[in-house]
Amino acid sequence: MNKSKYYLVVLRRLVQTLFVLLLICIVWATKYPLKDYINPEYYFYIDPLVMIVSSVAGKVLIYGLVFSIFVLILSFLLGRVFCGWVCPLGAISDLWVFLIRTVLKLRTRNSEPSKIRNFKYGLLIVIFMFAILGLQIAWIFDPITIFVRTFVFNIHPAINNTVDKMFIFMLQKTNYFEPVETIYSALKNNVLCVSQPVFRNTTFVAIIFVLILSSGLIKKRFWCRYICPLGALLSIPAKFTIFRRVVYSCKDGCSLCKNICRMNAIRSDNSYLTDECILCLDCISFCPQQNTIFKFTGLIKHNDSKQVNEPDTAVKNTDTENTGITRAQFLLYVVGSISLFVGFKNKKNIYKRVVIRPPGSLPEQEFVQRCIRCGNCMKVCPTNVLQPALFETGLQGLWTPRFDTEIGYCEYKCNLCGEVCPTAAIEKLTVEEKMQTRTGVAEINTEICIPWTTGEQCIVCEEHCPVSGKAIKTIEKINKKGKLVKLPYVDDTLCVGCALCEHKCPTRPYRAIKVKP
Amino acid sequence: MSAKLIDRIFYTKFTRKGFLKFLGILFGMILFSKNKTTTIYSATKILEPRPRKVIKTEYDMVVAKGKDPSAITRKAIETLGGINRFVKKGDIVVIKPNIAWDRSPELAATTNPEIVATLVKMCISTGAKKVNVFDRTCHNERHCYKNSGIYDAVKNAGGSIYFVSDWKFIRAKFPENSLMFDWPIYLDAVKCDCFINVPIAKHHELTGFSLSMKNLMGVCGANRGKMHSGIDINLVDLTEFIKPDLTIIDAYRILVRNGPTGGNLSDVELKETVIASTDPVLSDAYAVTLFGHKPQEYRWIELGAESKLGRMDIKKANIKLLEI
Repeated sequence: MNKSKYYLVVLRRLVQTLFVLLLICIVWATKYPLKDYINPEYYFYIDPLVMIVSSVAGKVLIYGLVFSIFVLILSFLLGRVFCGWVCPLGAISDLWVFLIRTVLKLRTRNSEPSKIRNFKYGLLIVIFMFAILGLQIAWIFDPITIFVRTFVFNIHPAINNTVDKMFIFMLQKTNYFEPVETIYSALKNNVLCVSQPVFRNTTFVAIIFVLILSSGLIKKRFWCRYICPLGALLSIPAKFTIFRRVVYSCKDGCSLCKNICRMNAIRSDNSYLTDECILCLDCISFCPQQNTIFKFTGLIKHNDSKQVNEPDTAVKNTDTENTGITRAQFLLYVVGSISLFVGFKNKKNIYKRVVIRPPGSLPEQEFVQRCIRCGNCMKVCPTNVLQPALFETGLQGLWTPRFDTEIGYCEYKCNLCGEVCPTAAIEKLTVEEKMQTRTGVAEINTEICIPWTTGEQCIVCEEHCPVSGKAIKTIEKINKKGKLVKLPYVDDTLCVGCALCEHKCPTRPYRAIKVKP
Repeated sequence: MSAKLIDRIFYTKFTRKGFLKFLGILFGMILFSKNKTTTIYSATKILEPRPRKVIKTEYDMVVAKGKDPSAITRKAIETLGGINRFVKKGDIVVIKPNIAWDRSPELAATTNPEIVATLVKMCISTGAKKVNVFDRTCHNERHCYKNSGIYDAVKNAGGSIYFVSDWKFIRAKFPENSLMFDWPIYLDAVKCDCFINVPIAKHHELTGFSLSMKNLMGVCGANRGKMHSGIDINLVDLTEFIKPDLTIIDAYRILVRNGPTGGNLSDVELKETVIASTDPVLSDAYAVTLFGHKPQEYRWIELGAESKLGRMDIKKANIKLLEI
């Protein structure tokens, strides 16, 4: 194999690694002292699917739309470079498939017989129809969201736990050896979490991630070819791209590029599908004759066709072959998704607030429609109180943030969840506004509460109440032993529902004070 | 290759011998892992109480008043006999301020950072090997450390300030009839040569006031809410266990209402006082008088005096008042 242009592949891998590391760094730095220059929203701003679908579903203009339209223009200029060079899920999937294949010496055929790849366009239409009708389901299929969500819920806690336990083990074995302890406390202060983050009901997130990666073993880039709606969205401008593949003299019957193409975009007559090509540049690097290049041809139509031995087959064939979906299929998808939605919509009272949402959340229906379940708010939450909901709020509320007071409470002077929400499902509040924002109201169950029932001293709830002037007040009463006991009660006008009292309440298994939405 | 692998996994005959081997390996793994986990995660040892150190001072207690919190702290300790009496060269010192709440220093819910920084500097200048500052916070750790100003103050003064880790809370040897029996205590608080307790004087709904004895709850692990039933005797047991060598009560700003969190400037009064003593009960008893109450009103002070932890009679004690 001639490898004189191998540097192109190395370059692509470097860029992919860089973008994955960048995203990981951004997500990792999503914690309490939030730095202005690495806000995790930024990665979602360049994701056109999330931005367009959220703004269509919420019928608002989101600030990030500007950047995502820039990405659409980029894919007109250069094709689907986003998929091949930037997308973190694609990069991880490339690496994973490469490793598994080299270890197990697997070989798979990249070609496929039918036009099943049209499925992704259908999915895109369904998502858009749902968005127009007012329900946002892009979060299920958006690759960046999937990556961030898996990283937040599964990968980051795993790394954190491993490093933490390793240090603890080392310290205990060396009897608190001082240099190790210094490194450990420095890491704790800056990089690691103070307390181990826990996310409930998230095994399924990891399973989906592994399935997506492993589907690459069936066909390379299986997800990108058949399912990814972001890829489908980007391939619309990429179909008319001006940056095209040109093949000069080619030896017949080689078809190496056709076989190695990870998107199976190259046809046997050396023409290719511009909307499928992700510019991985494998066909250039591995071409035995070094005769393939990419260049801007769209604007200069056939001008250099005389020098080209096979004159621009790329442009010639794309329109004649039936790629994309037909009109009949389109109508079918539209009608299907509308009827699906109508059936869904007919259920009454599905948007009722039954769990406590983060402070500054929109009304329940808008919140569920706007939230893309990226997990940013749950990552940034310093007390870990925000947990992904399973089916408490119905099927449509899967993985939306909710309070779990067993694990944490809402920090009074903290407004981070609103700061990092990419779709503004949680409003941006200043700290002063946040301190006034009510998430629920606490209620004391006098049948469990220690001072109310046994007459022992407690009032932990009153001690912890962060509201200035105390939302929990006490009345004094003499108990059976003749001792003065203070009994707590809640002042509804002051309570903001931060659930600190519920988290600290010493009664088990049920808390005597409970915050209700 | 892959076909062979799949063959090996799916088409291997499952014999009795193989099954037994599998069981053996499984049990071995379980036993091994269980052994490992017990050594790593559960503390097999029990913490002994800190040894009592008798340190002779010039006065029983020094009360210093003045505009500059740093200067009055320095002066109070110098009048008491100098920091050299408490901290020797190469010692590991623990300074335990109150950083429990996410409040700025003006709101008087956390210890004044200037006083903590002054103490750190004094310890380091005496030749302390390490000055550890920590507190188990009630609000989020990072918020509390940063917004109280103590994190930056201690870092700049050269001390080491860190977040407490759950695994370092180890069962402690309290008397068997105590309600605190087997309560987990932070390892660093006991494994030190000098323990300096730096509380802030503030109101507390349950105990009346949160002073030096209440401040020691910051080294306790587990569910501290359960300490609240029988808090008076628990505080005495805890103080008996830790035996702080030096107590500096920060009464520069005091919180008179809505304690221990506060959060409103109208609840704060400026007293510009620092109390320094080796006797936790005496200093608490004096601090109570700053709020205009009598120490006899509070059961935990009485219990402290009864159990020979210290004295509560201010009139009989040798107290030096300073004005700067």
